[in-house]
Amino acid sequence: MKNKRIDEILKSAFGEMNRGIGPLDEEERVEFEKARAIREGLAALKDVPECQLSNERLRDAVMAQMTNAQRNEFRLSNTIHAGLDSLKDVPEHQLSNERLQTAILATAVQPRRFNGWSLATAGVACLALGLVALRAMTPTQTEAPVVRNEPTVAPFATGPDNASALENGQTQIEAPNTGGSSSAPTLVAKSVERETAPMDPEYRLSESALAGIVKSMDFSATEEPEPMATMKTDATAKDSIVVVDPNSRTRNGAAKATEMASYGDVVFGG
Amino acid sequence: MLFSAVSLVLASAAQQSQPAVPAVWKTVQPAVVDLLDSRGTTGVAVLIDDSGLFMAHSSAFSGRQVRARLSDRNEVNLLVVGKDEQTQLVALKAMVWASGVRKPVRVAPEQTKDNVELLAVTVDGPKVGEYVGGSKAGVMKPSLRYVPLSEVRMRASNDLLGGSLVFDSAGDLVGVLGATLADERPAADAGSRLGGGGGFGGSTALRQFGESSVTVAYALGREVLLRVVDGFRSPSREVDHPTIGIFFKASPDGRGVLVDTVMAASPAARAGIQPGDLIFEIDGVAVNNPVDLAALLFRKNVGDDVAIKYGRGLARGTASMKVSGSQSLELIR
Repeated sequence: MKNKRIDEILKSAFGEMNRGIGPLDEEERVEFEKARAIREGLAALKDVPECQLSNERLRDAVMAQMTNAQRNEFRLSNTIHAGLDSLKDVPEHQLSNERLQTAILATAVQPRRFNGWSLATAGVACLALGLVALRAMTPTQTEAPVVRNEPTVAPFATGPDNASALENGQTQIEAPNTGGSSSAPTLVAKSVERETAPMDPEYRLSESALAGIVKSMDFSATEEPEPMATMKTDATAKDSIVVVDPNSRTRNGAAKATEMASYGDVVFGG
Repeated sequence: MLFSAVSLVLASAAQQSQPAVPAVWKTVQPAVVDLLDSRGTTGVAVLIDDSGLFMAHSSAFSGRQVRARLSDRNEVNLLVVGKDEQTQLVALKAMVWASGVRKPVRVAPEQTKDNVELLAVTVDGPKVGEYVGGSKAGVMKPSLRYVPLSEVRMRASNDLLGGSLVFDSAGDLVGVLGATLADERPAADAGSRLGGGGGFGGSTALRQFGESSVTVAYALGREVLLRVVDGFRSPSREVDHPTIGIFFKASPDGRGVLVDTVMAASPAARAGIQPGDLIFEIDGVAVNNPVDLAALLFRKNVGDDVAIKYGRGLARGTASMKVSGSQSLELIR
């Protein structure tokens, strides 16, 4: 619809056209009716003395024209603004990001409902973790992802024979043929993100998502464990190492260092 | 009058409880600059070359350019010209610099003795520290590279320590503080707290500090500092750490070192080393744990020849290779 036509429709609805605007199609009729409704709403305010024509009454008149969803959004916005206004009296040095966050979330986020489904989800999660722990405790033959099984026959040669596959710049390193044993995985040189995501206490798993995660877990331990301390009873101070994580900071602003009682399963590069 | 006397006594007592800054600070101060941003001092850097080349820890500032305040309160602009990812040390070059005015520091030529007092230059100025030992085996994430660390103990505080420079009594650089022990344990957990000296008191638990009186910090040792400074001074401003391209860990039975990963096209791969091999010897020196192997490889130079004896199942073999540089082989697992 062209602007000129819209202008004619609005003027006609508000009685400002001295001539007719011709027949209206469906879309034009809808616009005309809307404009007429607004005109009537404004007309209803004519009898109200100006001193009583408050912002609230005007707001109510406008909101009456809104849909339910728009009204809800408007109310929510007002609530957030009110919350922020209540913080105006707080001295700036006390106005931390945490307080702001708390103030906003307290008014905008619905409280969690604890119901039976949450209990069931927690129960399934505990069961799954228990299964994982049991499986982890059971010794397996393939704890390290790239360690090959012991070959039954393993004559090999160093030097050019083994290196020939790599001379043309291949990026794959394949385990040698060990007489039928093909359990060794193919190693592709790649960078592995060793940082784990920070634990979010607010993260909730739906039941189906948890079931999917448990189902997809590969208990052949394809992921190298984080270098946490494995307690060796014969550990000595001499075996202790320090793992430095530049992406994690202590309160001193330095990288976080963790001293391990022994090198355990820590992987070194060299 | 009584109040004044009490105040004097208290002030004197407070002053005495703070250890005096070592006299070597006056020697070192001209070569140290404060790194600044709009909020104030964010770190420190040290002059390593008379051409206006400085070195700092990457945690001491952000961005590719930073203002620095000299000891005479003049300011210079420093530009990042090099970075060593494995140690997080950065080379900074002054845009305008007058040579011959300030003496650059040198890295300590010899290993510092244990339990000596050190000067630690922090964001908040010079502090006193104690050098505990220079032979701590460290592993830097994410490269998993071995790096020898020196342990330095300082009075516990909330001061920012990352990137602090550590000097000995001669004014030589002995370390750059890069990490401190995590202080996540509550103060009540005294069983895992280290009161002093080495060892774990019979416990193999992780050693962590709570609200103790000492902060344990780890500094990059002089060996790695020498390598980094030489690299920054080179025309390429690059630091080449020696590597043969393997990742390894302790073997299950404690004999030899288990090869975990072999990087493609690395010297070890070309020489035939494969995942699952057990390394027993390197250049005639027996190795039975990954720390020993890592330390031996660390002390090699790029281009050195290395002979490794290893086992694969029932067979034994020897692989000869040349040590490569980390710049040509990205050692990220």
